[in-house]
Amino acid sequence: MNSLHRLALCGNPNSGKSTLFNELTGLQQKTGNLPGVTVEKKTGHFSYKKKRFQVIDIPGIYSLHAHSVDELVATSLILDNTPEAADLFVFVADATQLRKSLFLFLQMQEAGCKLILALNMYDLAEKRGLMFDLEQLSRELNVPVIPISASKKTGITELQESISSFAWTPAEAKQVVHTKAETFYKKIDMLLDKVQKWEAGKVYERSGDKWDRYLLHPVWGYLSFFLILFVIFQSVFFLAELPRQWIESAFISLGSWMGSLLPLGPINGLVVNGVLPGLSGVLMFLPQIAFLFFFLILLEDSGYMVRATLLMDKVMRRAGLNGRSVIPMISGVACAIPAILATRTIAQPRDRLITMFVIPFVSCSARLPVFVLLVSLILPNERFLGVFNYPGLALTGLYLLGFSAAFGTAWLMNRGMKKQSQDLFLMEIPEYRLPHWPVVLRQISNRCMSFITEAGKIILGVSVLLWALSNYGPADFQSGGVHTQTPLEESFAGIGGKAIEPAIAPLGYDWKIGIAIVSSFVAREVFVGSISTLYHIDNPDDQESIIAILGRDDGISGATAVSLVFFYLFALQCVSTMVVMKRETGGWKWPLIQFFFMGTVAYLSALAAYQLLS
Amino acid sequence: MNLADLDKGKCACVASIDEKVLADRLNELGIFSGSQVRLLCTAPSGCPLLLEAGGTQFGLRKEQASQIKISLLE
Repeated sequence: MNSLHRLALCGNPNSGKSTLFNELTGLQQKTGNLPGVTVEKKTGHFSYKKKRFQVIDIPGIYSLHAHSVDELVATSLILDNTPEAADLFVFVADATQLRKSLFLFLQMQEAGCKLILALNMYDLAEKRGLMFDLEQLSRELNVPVIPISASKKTGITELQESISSFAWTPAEAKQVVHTKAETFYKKIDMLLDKVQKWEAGKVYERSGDKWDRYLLHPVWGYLSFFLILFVIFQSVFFLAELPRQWIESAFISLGSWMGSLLPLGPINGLVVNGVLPGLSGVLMFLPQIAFLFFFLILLEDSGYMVRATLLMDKVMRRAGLNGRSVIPMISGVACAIPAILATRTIAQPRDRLITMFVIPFVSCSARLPVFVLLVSLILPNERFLGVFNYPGLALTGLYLLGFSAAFGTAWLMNRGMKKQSQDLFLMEIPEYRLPHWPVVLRQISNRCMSFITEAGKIILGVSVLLWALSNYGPADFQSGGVHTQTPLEESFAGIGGKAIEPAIAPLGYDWKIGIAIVSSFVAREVFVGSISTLYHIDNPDDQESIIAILGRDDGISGATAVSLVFFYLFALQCVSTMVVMKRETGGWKWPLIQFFFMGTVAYLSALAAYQLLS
Repeated sequence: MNLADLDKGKCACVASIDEKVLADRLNELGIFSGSQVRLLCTAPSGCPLLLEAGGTQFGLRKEQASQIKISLLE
């Protein structure tokens, strides 16, 4: 038989599912959106003995009784009775935590799921002195049991063999049976008595726990939390500087090469002054984004993020937020969209709404290109005290300002909105763990690719449109279609920019910046591409970097740059965020309130900054 | 005596869990009346608590911990 078999990976959080998923599917994986909800559905493929298998990665849960939106998504994937549902579930259990895993396992078995039990981290369990009677475990549970270690790549072939030889029949209808937890655990404890033994004399203490004494300490805890964030932003700026320069100079030489290759005319102009500056404006910030994601994934996978949640819970609650808001807000540093989706772990609708509302204030990676460009116009890239660099310091300040705006807004909303019943805060603390590098690298490359394709598409389109609008004007149509060189001021874009100039002049912006701002309402990073395109059109023969062009006297002044920084720090210029907000809140009301509220804050602060500095 | 009053590093036995939703969640993690629980440490200013029970470590706020009655182990 050559048809495609569907299987799903499921289990508790932190059981090593992602590592196994990566190991099974290798390069053949993709993330897509589930219909109706904006959660990422990770699917991948692998072939074994000429059979092809599709693997769905289901988010980790503890029980089929969902308490929050993200758990609801996972359980509905498990209990899915449509033809797209998985026919087989590979249950990934942490062998060192078998008792807790078996609860969900038995629930799923009772609901009618067909299962294979993969005992992950088996090597670790053995090292800690745990011994299993796998044959008896398999007999008692009536499923195949395969010991594996996803990170050491052992047992994978055995697991594939077991999957391949499974009697593949379409899944039967699944339904939750409400058996009491106590009944299951009685069964589990009896079973484990028979199949799991501790090697005599071995007592295991979790290895990294002594760290918690410092990382949750009233002084050292907060100090290390802020130190970690500070080091991240410093190194994002510092490490990415060299690759950024390489990309920029590569684009400059590509531009002059293409310019000499293509015949003079509209195509030449479009490529050299429209598309290439726009693309380079985005791609040169890819190193920064990659490093930022690297650090965020490191914090998450090592187990520190959960500690940060505990550490910040009390502080966050004072601002009307929730300890669970910490992870979404920190991930907001990467992008508001996954951050808004991450609020699904917050069970209280009110706390979740406040968190989602303030997340866009947290400075995201799309603002990074804008800030980097503007900050380099204001401050020299020099170091003081040997280690700190000025732009990195300014960047840290901007992130703190973004967080403060988020907290301030949350505090206001908290005062204005009715309190609800108590939120249950119960959060498992995983062991500290060294990240599994292949998984980390895969995640970084996935996110960078999606940044290039998603942002690249928009920016390419906007750059081409902007080039056309700024190279053609009404005069071109009056002269009977004969295109002569239209000055930027008389082009469509120029006329549009001049029309809005009165509204933005108090902020220190001229009509060119106006055009860039309007074009970046699709997405913030478009600003850099647009500015590059616009200033290139004005100086078509220039082969200098955009920072050098803008730094000249007829470029952007210091006061204007500061005002722009404030504008971009606070304004909600991201259509995707608004669309996700609409989906998550079920209407346009909240995204619109958010848009106008943030817009007002942005306008007023930019106004104040420019008026004070000029 | 309830769980919020437990001293750092000390073990106790869960006597009863007064709140239904909390009881359900703890049961799912394999923690019932009669289970042993230990206070590992707390976040700054004493909340949330870092607890160990049923082979798991978890964070719990003081308000919820005070809804769990305990008896000290000899």
